[in-house]
Amino acid sequence: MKPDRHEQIRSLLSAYLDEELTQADSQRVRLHLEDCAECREQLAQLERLKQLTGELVFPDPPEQEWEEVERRLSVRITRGVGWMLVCGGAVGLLIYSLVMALLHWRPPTVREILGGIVLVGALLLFFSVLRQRLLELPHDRYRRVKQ
Amino acid sequence: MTRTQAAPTPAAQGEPESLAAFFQQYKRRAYLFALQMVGDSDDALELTQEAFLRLHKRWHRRDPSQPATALLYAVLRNLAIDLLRKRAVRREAEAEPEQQGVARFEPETLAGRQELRAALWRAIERLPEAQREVLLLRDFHGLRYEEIARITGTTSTLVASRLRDARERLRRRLARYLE
Ligand SMILES: [Zn+2]
Repeated sequence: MKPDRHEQIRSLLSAYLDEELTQADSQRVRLHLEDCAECREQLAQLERLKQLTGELVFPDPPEQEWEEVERRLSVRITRGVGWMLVCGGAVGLLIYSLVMALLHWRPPTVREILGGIVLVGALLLFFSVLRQRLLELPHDRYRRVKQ
Repeated sequence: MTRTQAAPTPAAQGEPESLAAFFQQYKRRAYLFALQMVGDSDDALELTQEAFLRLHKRWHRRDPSQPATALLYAVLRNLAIDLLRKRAVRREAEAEPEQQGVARFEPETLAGRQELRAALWRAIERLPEAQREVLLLRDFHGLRYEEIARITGTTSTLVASRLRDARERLRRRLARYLE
């Protein structure tokens, strides 16, 4: 066996093991392996490594940790939807009121003034919370990271 | 040299339609990948949570021809790389000596006490990041080259060569166990 051919086959063994070679390459490797005990041995070692890697055991988090993750996820998802509704609705209402006020100008009623105050207040609250969240974001990421 | 293969459809892979069911089915795999990447169980849980939150934001806009697991792995990988970079920056700022590998637990507890498994995990940890992730995605998570290429933003050919280099390193490092 010529050494360059031998090396060429070796470079294919890894993909051969994963059945990711073209049919032609795969056939080439198979034929070579029939005659070459050295390459067969190398393939066997790679196979063993692959199997062992697949069988590595890692510690699972305790079940209550998962429950905690699920709880936090559902809180953050629900809160996201809630804020979106509040914000979208408030902006829509504000634009609608402004347009209506411009189109049909008349002195606003007490109810409209109070409604407007509540609306602007809600928006202010929303943006302040949003600003705080954005400022806290980098710290949040490290919240659970050990120093 | 690598074979191109049609990606299996999500339906063919038996992926659930709802994110809640998908979470139940894949949370553990997600956690393990995060753990293997960042080596710390608290961080891994945090990354898993963040990954599913990001998945939630794209769930209904995701490409239906691609398995959602590919998206999950890709999101997790980005989060993990982010975290590893930040750790490296912080280490540099605090002038801490570079630690070997990523894990902060003893490989023995991790790998089930067997000497070979412990040595194997230590060797995997010391692989360059690009080789390590490809090896884990292939041999632990059982993904095909094509899927790994999509997740890591490379080509199947490059996946094949990284995998070959990774395995060759492991084989040389663990030679005394393998003979
Ligand atoms: Zn040979």
